[in-house]
Order: sequence, then C-alpha cells, then structure tokens
Amino acid sequence: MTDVLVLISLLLVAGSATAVVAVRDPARQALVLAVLGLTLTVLFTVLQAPDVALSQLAVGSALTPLLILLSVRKVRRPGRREGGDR
Amino acid sequence: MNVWLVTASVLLVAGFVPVVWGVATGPLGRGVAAQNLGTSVVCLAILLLSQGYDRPSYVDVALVVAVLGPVGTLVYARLLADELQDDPPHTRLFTVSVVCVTVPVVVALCLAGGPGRAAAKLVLVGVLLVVGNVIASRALTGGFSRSEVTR
Amino acid sequence: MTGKRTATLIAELLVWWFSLSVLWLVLISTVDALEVLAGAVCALLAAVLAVAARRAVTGR
Repeated sequence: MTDVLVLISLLLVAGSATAVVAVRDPARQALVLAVLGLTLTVLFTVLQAPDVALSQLAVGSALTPLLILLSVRKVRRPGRREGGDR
Repeated sequence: MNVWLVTASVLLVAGFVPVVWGVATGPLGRGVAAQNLGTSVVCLAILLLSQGYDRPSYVDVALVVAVLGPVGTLVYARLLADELQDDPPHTRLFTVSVVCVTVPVVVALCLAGGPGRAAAKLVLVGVLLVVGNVIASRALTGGFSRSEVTR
Repeated sequence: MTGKRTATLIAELLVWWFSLSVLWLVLISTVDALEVLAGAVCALLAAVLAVAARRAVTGR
C-alpha cells in the first residue's frame, strides 16, 4: 500500500515538471524549478533514499534559483532601464 | 500503510497540489507565497514519513528543509524585489495555516515517539519551520521592497 | 584591548559554545564519548566564527 505514496510523489513530480516547461518567463521558471526540487525531495524520501534527498535539497532549493535569477538579472540589466541608474 | 503514511499522503495531496497550481499560474507574488507554503508542507510531510517508515534519520532531511526552504524564499524576496513591490503577496493566511497544522503534527509525533532527545529534535524542527516561514513571509510582504534595492 | 572587553568577549564565546554544544547533543542520534568530543570541537570552532560574525554585523 505504500505504492500509493510513490504514485502521489511521482504525479507531483510530473505535474511540477510540466509546469516548469509550460511557464515561459525565466524568473517564474526559477520559482517553479524550486518547487520541482521540493517534489523530487519528497520522491527520494518516499523511495527510501534520504541522502539523495539531502543532496537534491541542497542543490535545488537555494543554489539553482540563485544561479538562474542572477543570470537573468545580469542579462536583463542593460536593456531594462533606459538612461536611468539604480 | 499505517496512519502516519496516510496522513502524509493526505497532507501532500491537499497541500502541495495547490502549491504547484499557484506557482505556475497567477501573479508572481502568489507564486513566491506558494513556494514558501510548499517548503513548510514538505517539511511536515517528511516528518510524518519518518514516523511512518520508522526511520528516525529522515528527521534530518526535514531539518534541512526547515532551514534551506526559507533561505530559498529569501533569495526570491531579495532578487525579485522590484517585481514584487507593486503587488505584494498575501501571506498571512498561509502563515496562519502553517502554524495551525505544524503544532498538532509535532505534538502528535512527540507523543508517539516518547520523551527524550528525539522529541526535542522534533520540537526544534517545528520551531525552525514556523520561525522560517514567518521570517520569509515578513520579507516577502515588504521587508526588502522599500529602501535597499532602489538605492 | 581592555580587561572588560576581553571579559565580555570570552563570556560571549562561552555562551555560544554552550548553546551550540547543546544543539549538537540534541541533533545526534547516539551519545558516546567520541561524539561528545567531536561536538565540543565543532562547537568551539563555530562559536569563534559566530562571535566574529556578530561583531562584524553589529559594527562593534
């Protein structure tokens, strides 16, 4: 009966992965990627692999969004504000 | 399939499906608030799973979620402060519901595990979860938006 | 550095060391002599870093 938990986690992973692909704006995609990382953590815990869940959490919750948002900021900055400074 | 695993499944379905929906659709403020709620739901679910599978080592995963989840939300609050400034997210309801769900879950887990260091660890994880959620919500609704970014 | 400042510094270091050691003892699974020793050493290092960080943040 613990297959139900595995099924729920897999459906959540599939749902959030589809959401990542469906969202177009990069800043929002970073947000949905963080949620995908959380669902993967739950999946790995349900599959009895807590060390993999810890690694996934360490990478996917803070590092990946930070990297993506910083890159988006760097790329967008010259075109965003015309003539003004921050 | 004991009662802890059933509770974890119910919590995941009832708590995380709205999170995925809220983070994918709607304005950005709702998405960041949904991510904040999602980390709290995952932390509570993993605490229940650790009791359900009878593996005390899973509490460490919940501890790391309780610490790193709000850090992730603070990253968004800092780096998306311009976009969030015009439409601050409404996080009060989420914070209240997180507190209302965390307290019975932690109390039930402490009663099931018995007194001792394990119960103290569970209480610590619960406190970190609630404090992290409150701090992240406070940062989202206006901590960073005024003075620091526009300088 | 005057005597009062060193006294407050050492007192703060001891408070941090004590709280971090208690935190370590709560978080580990089994308590034996080696764990206590490792916890004490790590807590001392972390206490030094915490004192330095707090001084740097509050501008003292």
